Amino acid sequence: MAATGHNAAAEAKAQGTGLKVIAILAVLTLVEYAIAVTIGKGPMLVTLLTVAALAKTWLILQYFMHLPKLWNPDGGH
Amino acid sequence: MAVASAPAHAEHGHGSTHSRIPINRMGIWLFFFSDALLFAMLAASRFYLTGTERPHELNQALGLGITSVLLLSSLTAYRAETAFEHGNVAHGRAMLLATILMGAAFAIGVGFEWSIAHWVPSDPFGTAFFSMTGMHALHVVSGVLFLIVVYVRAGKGHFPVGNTWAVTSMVMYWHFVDVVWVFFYPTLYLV
Amino acid sequence: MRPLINALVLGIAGFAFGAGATGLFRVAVLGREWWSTDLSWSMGYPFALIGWVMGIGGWKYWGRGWFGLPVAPYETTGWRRYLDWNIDHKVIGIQYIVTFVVIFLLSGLTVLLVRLELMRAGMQILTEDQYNAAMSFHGITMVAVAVAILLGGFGNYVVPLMLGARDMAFPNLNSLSYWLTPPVAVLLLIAVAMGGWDSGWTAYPPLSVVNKSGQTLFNLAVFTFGLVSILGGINFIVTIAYERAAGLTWGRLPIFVWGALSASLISFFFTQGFAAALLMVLFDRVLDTSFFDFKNEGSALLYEHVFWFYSHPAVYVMVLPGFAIILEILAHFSRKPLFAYRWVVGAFLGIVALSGVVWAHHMFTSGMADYLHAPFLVLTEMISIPTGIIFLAGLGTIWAGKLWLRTPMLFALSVLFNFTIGGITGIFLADVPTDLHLHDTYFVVAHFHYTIVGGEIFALMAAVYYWFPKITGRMYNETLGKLHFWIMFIGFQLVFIPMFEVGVQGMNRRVADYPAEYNGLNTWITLAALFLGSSFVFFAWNMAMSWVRGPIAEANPWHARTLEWQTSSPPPIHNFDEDPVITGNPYDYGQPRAAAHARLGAAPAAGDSA
Ligand SMILES: [Cu+2]
Repeated sequence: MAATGHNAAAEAKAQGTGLKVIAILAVLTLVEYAIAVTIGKGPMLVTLLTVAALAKTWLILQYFMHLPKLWNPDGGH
Repeated sequence: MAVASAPAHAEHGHGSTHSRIPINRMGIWLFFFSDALLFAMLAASRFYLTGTERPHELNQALGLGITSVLLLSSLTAYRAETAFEHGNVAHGRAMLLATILMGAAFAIGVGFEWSIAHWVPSDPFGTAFFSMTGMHALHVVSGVLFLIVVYVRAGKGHFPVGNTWAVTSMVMYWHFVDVVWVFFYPTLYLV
Repeated sequence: MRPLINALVLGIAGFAFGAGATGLFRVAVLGREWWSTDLSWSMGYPFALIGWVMGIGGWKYWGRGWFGLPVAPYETTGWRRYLDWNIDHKVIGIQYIVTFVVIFLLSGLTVLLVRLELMRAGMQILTEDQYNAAMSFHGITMVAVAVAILLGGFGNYVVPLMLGARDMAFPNLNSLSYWLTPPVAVLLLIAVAMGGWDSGWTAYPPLSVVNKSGQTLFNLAVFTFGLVSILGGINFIVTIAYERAAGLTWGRLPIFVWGALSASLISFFFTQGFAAALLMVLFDRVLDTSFFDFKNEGSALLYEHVFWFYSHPAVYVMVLPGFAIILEILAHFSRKPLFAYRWVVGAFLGIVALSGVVWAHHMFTSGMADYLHAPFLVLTEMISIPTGIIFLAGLGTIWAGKLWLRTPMLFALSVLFNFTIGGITGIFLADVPTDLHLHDTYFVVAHFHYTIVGGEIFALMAAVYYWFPKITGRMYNETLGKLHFWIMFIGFQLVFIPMFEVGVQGMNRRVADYPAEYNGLNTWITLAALFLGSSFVFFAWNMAMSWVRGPIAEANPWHARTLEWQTSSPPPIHNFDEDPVITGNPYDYGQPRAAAHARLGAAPAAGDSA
């Protein structure tokens, strides 16, 4: 079955979302690494790393794992 | 379609009255939550045993490297799922293969890290390090095996549009494994 | 028998593969001996488990589907279903009930051995090692029975019926959960045959890290059982969320469904604590980590935290379904609406929430930080508020009712009596000052037997007699039932009331021997325990005989309104011949204009079913 034009557009849009999300995830990971090597050990570092990890988790849950489909089965694209 | 590819649970008679997908979806999320608690216990005991101390120097380049590979494999998994949902099987399979290879690379990276580790399991950080990475690697390896099954079945045309739950659920599992590492990486390498 | 033989063969093959590969690695790479009991079992067992599950039918009926291969159809009739992989929740419910009743009786016999040894000071019939093995075996098997029999057994059988569903949400997962339990029992028996383990059911390190290899088998077994619990919990949560019949709103759910849901939430949220704790002990034993090894800066206190994080909530996995069952029975047998339904639901959910923040009340003498004492004291006492609400709802339900004193009702009423004592004595253990004296004495033993046996096992017996006609299609013998009740009820009081006293006097639990000053009370307790044990002869006889040749039961012998009684006894394969529609509340007895709880099919209701 060949993809219809509509399908192709929707697919391209969804794949675009994935690229945006991975870009932000990559930046966050690099930021994590950078702050870990620049600011020393301590509560500040732990706090910042926690915030970054939570942000990454939210992105993956929201966009990659489609968490909202859990309560809204038809939406989410 | 000749090949039986009905979802594993369709046989119990409810398939006709309502869709299995929301039920399966809730089940798998509950499983993730439950499994996450096991990882959380291990991470919590790492802080309980050694506080925020990291007594050994880890190979930071390796850590960042395997973290990036795993993160990138989440993107390819996402691309695979999206492609299958839109009937783009060829691209979906290519992306699955990429995910499998990156997953294997991650597991090899962890194995290499173990082989060069200059600490032993019996010191407190070693206790946390080996049990956390080991438990996570076990999930990565099982995820790779699941994805290989999905990859092969996809090649036989088992997942046409509208019947891609097997792909979706395994991809979700893969993302879950990645999320665990999102926490384990800073816990072990950066704190 | 075929599936069982397949399962055994594949299980042993799996073990040989796992242990063999490990041995090969040890010989070839590490240059050590090929067999190391702890490690070989730890590596062989997971493969044995996989082999067992595949052999019993997990591959034939389910696993093949994962690979796109056609799966075999299930047996729908005959007793062979019970020894095979089957997805019918009624089959699985009976599998659980029978398995765990057998384990219950076996474990009860074991504890009689323990009691006979404790009859007098000094060692008479057992060695210290055998005593430890028997006591530990009794502990863990009874915990397993208590966790699984109400939820796994009656929950499985009754909840889908009460929901008007055809089955559980994940029938194959359900079968998997059940078939993971026989290996648990087998492993524990092998552990006993290997000389047992001496760390009780709690497996505290440092002992559990250094003792003999029975401990490893214990850890593997109980870890598996944790998996059963979690998978079962997930299945119930999704079932109750998705498989309710038309019109069955949350406010119309029978209270047993709420009890099953609450217990499932707890096993789902907390079982990982026990699993993690056991896993860490296993790592310490076989992988040389040091979670709990103080020589290497490990911490045995860490274990207690992780362990009790589950094991306190676990008591609510045991008693919440028990409470729910007795509330069901009290309403049906008093012919009155359940008193304060909404408050009870709130209380159940309140207990789910509170159960997760009280665990350290088991650790007041452990040496944990002093500042933790007050908060855990206060939080623990707070649990008596929802528990009290449930209790008052029971009293309010029977208040001014016309009590129909059949065997299930007698057992239900006795739970109210027993749990009063169990609850009140709990206060002395939750309060730090009294607990410092009572900790690890027989007062604790008496207290938790009053809550778990008095609260749950009596409710279990109520459930057995109540649903016996539904499950077997036959009626039990009322005289034998009442005889069982009165001997069990009186024997239970005679055993455990003196146990409080011997505890207050300072006798330590878990010890095989004691100073001769405690002789008198212990002799009494042992004699009473034999009396209590004799009640189960009547129980076992009644069950076996009635199941085979009891009088045929009606569909609804109790004239109850809930849905499971509106279908035949036993129900047909898909539970209802027509899809049920829920039109009213389950407990509206004596309300002249109340709608029936349910009607079957689209036909108009044929009148009030009450
Ligand atoms: Cu407790």
